Amino acid sequence: MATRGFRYYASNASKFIRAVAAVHLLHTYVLEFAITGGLSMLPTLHTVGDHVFLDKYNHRLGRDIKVGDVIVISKPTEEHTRICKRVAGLPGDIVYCDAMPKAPTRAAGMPDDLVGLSTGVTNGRTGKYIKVPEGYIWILGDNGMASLDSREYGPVPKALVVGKVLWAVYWGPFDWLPSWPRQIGSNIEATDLSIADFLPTTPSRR
Amino acid sequence: MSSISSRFVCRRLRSTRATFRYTAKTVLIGLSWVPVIAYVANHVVWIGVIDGSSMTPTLNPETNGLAKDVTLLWKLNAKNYNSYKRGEVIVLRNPRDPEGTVVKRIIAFEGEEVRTRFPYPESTVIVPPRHFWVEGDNIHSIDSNTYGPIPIGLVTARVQTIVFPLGRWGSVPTAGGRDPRSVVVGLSYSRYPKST
Repeated sequence: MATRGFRYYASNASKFIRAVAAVHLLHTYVLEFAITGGLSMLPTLHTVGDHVFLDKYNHRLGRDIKVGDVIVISKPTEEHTRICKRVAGLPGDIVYCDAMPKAPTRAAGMPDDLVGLSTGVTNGRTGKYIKVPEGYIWILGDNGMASLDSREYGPVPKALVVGKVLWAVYWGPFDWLPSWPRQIGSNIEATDLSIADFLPTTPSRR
Repeated sequence: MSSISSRFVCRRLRSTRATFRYTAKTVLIGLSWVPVIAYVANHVVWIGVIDGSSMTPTLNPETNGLAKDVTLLWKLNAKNYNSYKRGEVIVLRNPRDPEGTVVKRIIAFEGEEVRTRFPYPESTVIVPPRHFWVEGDNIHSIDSNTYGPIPIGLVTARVQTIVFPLGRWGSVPTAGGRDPRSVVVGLSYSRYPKST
């Protein structure tokens, strides 16, 4: 029997390359399973242990993004890093940039990456109403007290959007099994309140 | 299997079904190479045709709009902030229109104070962390003077080599547009390496 020649290794290598490239294509452009961490999206996402499904294909470059979607974007001020926030304003919307509170002081044993997220520093935008320019979005973390978001970065270009979070699976560090997947960010559509519900009731309206 | 006509001998070497299976197999094998080519196109190098006159006269010097430069877009190391040198021409996603890309030159890096041009609202601006100040070589280009510093996340590729027209084959010159020495007026903090 002849020893395994070049053709055997070449054909297996080419199959491996093609398989890896196909998986990479799916993972980068279609659907990704990513691990999230941090305080800035409490209570929507846990501090540690939340694994999210990202829909990348439909929402790359910020396509079809609505207010209320939880999205992942490339961090503007750091390379090779991504952040997960909620969309609060689309191009043309007018948003209010509120002051960022100082993060709670460090507790004993707190991991380094959870400390000091909000700086409490005001910038030129604080306290002002801003119209989101064309091609940009305004993002906010659900936990406003400990979130670095558009109040610091300003409006973020839509092209930085990596994908939209569809489902989250919580597998806590001390749990045997993961929890059931839960939907993220769809509660905005469920509301059927109108502006009248927020108006004060006066004797003439009753 | 072969079919023989009554008039003259006409032999088919393969049945229709066998030919169909061969074609289907070849097409599928061909398609399986598409993700590999897509990987190379998105992460290694690809060909790019330059549109527009914002980098005139370095790229697209003819203003008639018919002769377009063809360049190599290097995507290896494209997202590495510290790998960029001043004067490099880069391709980035248009901040004002995420579907489009623009080609501009890097003038200033993070921490540097930049003397801006019309129509930027302030006369100087400090470039935020991991952002570039980019300008087109053409004085009429829409660049950072319109939309401000751009984050590294928007950068897609480097333009280093012109492939066509053959008369200008070779590297893209690193000088063009405003001289960075007249643009950068100060340094707030120098470039820092990646934190982790």
